[in-house]
Amino acid sequence: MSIRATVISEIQKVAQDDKRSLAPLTDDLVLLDSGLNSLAIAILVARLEDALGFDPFTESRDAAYPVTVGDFVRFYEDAAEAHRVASQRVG
Amino acid sequence: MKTPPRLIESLRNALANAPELPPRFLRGVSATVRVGDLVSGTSLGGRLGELAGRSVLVATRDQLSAALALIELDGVARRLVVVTPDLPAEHVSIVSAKAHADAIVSDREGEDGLPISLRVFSTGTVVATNGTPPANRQTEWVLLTSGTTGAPKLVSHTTATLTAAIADSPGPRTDVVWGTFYDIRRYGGLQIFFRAVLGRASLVLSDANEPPGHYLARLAAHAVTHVSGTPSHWRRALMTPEARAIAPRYVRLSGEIADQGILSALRCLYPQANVGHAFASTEAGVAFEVNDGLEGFPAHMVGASGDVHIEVVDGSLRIRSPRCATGYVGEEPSTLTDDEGFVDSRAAFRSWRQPCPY
Repeated sequence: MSIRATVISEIQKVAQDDKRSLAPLTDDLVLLDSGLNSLAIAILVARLEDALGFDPFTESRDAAYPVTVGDFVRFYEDAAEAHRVASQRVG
Repeated sequence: MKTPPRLIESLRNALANAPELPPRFLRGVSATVRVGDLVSGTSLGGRLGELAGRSVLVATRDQLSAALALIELDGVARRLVVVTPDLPAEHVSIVSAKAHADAIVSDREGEDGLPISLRVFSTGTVVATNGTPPANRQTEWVLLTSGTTGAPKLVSHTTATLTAAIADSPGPRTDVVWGTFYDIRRYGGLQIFFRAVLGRASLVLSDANEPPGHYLARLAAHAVTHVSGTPSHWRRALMTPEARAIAPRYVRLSGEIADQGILSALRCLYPQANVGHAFASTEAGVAFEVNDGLEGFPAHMVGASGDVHIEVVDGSLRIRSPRCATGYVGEEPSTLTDDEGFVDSRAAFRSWRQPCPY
């Protein structure tokens, strides 16, 4: 599954578990306006760490925090790429 | 230790010494008070004299009302008990009893069940008064710990311990506008309150029910220059579009240990700002402030000479400084510090950049 698909799927699962209705997940939708509150987003970040093996919010990267759904997906895509490059260097 | 002047005197002196400077304001979500009006007015209905020498609970819902009451009552009340806004009613009763409160300043209507006869209603606005100010006295400040279970502990400070981490000189800049996500009735927020009041700055306060985006928009409208919050506050704030509307010169984190992720994200969004983080607790006071943009605090701070003495003992940090609290109220006096005057902090230890053992 692509990073984008994983992120979108986890957003939908968190909303479903919390019985929250989600706005249509377009790239320009502000994540905090999607129907997820800050606690739900914290749960989302923890689940994505389980699924992907990293948490870009705790890593030192020169990247602004994501505001929209599109930013959020790219935030994880960029972190995944950084991890792939780093693991190649180690290997 | 030198006793600082009353807060209201500091404000009055600043105005008298530099009348040409632009006006300063204390701003809440629905009201604004000009500092010049406060020094010749009252938010307590002219009843300051009745509160003189008493143990006063400041228990307002509104943050601006609390700020105004604290400024007026410092140097007047014998004891100022700073009640956090979300404290459950049963804990307010416990706090009131432990502090032997005999007066309350509140902005809430209705019965609270507290056996206190002197009640002063705060409207959060200031009206002129020509009453004679009560005689000056040293006020004991009592702050509440923020534990997650049980009633909070009551931690005793003086104005001197609470302001010991703040530089004496406010510096030449007069355009400082502080914002704080952190409620001023908690230790970290109260530090910002003192910095603004003593540092000739304006202060923009949030409301407990105000979304971070709305608060950030107000900060932008008032050209905020210095902003403080916990890492959790900042993580949430940085995910709002309105975070892009401010351009602070100084960003401060305290209240929780700041990791590199949030420090880097702040540096990225606010490249013009100094990003600093502080470790402080209600009991230990401000132990250290770090401004190099890196998480943790440098190993060389342990054992260094200066006002703040830090020692590492068995996985914990011991801190002794003029910023430490003077004791607990209503507890065994020996429980705050050890025999040598050190406060113990395991939380601070986790933030120590331990020296490489090789």
